[in-house]
Amino acid sequence: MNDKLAGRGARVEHHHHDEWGTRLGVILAVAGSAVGLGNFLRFPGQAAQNGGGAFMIPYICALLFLGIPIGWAEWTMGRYGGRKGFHTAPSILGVFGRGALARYLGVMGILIPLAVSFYYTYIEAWCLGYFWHYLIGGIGIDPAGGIHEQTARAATFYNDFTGRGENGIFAGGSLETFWFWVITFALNIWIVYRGLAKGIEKFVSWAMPMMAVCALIVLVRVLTLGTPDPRHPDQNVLNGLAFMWNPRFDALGNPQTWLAAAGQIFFSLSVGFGVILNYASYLKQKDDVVLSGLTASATNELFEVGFGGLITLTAAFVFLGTSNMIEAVQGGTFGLGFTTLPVVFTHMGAAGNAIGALWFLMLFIAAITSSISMYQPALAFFRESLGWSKQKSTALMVAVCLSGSFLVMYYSRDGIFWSTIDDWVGTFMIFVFAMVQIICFSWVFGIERGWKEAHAGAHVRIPRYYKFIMKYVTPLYLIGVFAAFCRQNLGGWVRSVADEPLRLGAIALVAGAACLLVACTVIGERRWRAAGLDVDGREDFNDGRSGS
Amino acid sequence: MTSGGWLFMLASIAFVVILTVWCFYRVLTWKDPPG
Repeated sequence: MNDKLAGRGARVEHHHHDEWGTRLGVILAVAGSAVGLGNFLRFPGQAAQNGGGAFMIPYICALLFLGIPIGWAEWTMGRYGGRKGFHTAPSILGVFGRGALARYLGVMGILIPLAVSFYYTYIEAWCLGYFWHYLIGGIGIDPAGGIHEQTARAATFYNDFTGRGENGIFAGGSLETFWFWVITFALNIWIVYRGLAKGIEKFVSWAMPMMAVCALIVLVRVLTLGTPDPRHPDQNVLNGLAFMWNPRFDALGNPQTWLAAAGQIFFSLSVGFGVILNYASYLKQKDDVVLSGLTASATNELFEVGFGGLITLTAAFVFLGTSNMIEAVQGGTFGLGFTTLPVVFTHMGAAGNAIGALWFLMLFIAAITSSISMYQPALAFFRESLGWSKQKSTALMVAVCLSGSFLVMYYSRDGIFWSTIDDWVGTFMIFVFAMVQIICFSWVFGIERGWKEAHAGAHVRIPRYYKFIMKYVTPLYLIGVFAAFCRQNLGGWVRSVADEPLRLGAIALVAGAACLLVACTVIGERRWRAAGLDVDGREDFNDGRSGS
Repeated sequence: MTSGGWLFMLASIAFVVILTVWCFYRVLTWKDPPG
């Protein structure tokens, strides 16, 4: 490998020879990465709790000023980095941030997807498990029982299945969840190992349409529910939609609403994750990034607003009524998805199990199209930094992910272990990494150069005022949201880590993974320099020479 | 459902549907320049 890397002319050899098969393929892959459980479960809950329809005002603002601009920056940086022979966040940010600081901060762009994959794969296994159970007859909720009995049964099944009661792999007294986790993990690795075009792209090219079809069927069923129980005429579809969409403008005066909207956009679009940098790095020099980035974001919004905004709460309201709904929404993302909705499916009569199966199949597809995007950056990073073969790098990636994900599954009590990783990596670190990226793009690399680079081969032009937005508004908006977020959460999080050994264990796991990635970056930097690559982004921006 | 509810729901859904359709239309009908 070192021979291959010797000298500037070896840049092409440094590439992994991976590339996307089609333009649509990379868009669907990024959209698939973005569309996840949060689109169907988190968004409706956030909207209902924060102003109903009025939530859409701060939500659209966050989309236009945060989500889309950061997405464009990531697509542009990724493609530019790929042209220089780099495919992962540390090396790409080293170029854009011009040096070691940005490069080592870029480690977050590998750590985030890697650490999130530890628990995301486990949650994905729940979706597969629930899908299987609905396929063979449901989860044992008595249709004749009262709502509270049914909810209690759904909660018991959820707690047993996910091992919330106690640590160990014998969740609920069986190894069932463990086997679903094994299948899910193996499926992910198999898809990623097959490569970009033959694995990820091929998979998303049928998975995304299939998810849309599942969502459409469930949506039609929900919107045609009418008034299923004549004894409760107020529990009808229109009132269900009203529960979600009737605007409460007073909520707009509450900073929490704006924070929730920004958070939802941010986590939903997969920006600040490191995935887009990696995916876009396999684009060709003149491939479009502007329209592609916008299309991936739009697709995510279609699933979130169009399906998530119409299905979840409407279905739950029709069968549960206002009082139970408030409780369900406050139960959070997983309470809504894995406890409330199974009760709803029970009330749908003969079709309930089929709709339940479709729902959890849809969630599983949404989850797996996201999780494969979490494994890919780590695989690419091990190849790039260590110069290892695909097989060897995959083995290291599997060893790390297997260990992390197994620990998450084993330490399952009350979901403390995985939710700690979700808080610190899947939430806090994403903010930090997005700030690093937008500052590197707009300020260190420079908005003028970034703008020019973004428009190379672009199919549409970004309105000029976005220069101002990307340079000033997005960073300030992000810093403001991050400051408010820290003020609200950070103190409690720090105290809770100190109080709970499981939380400490989760932090130790993330720290261990971070150390490994930093060590790889040190090795990688030496190799890249030895190969004459533009590690610190010193070469002229407008160098068509790179990679050619 | 209030008129405000209808307005926000229909406007939001119309926004995301139109944006998505427009984007995919542009992506799928784009012809690379010769050479």
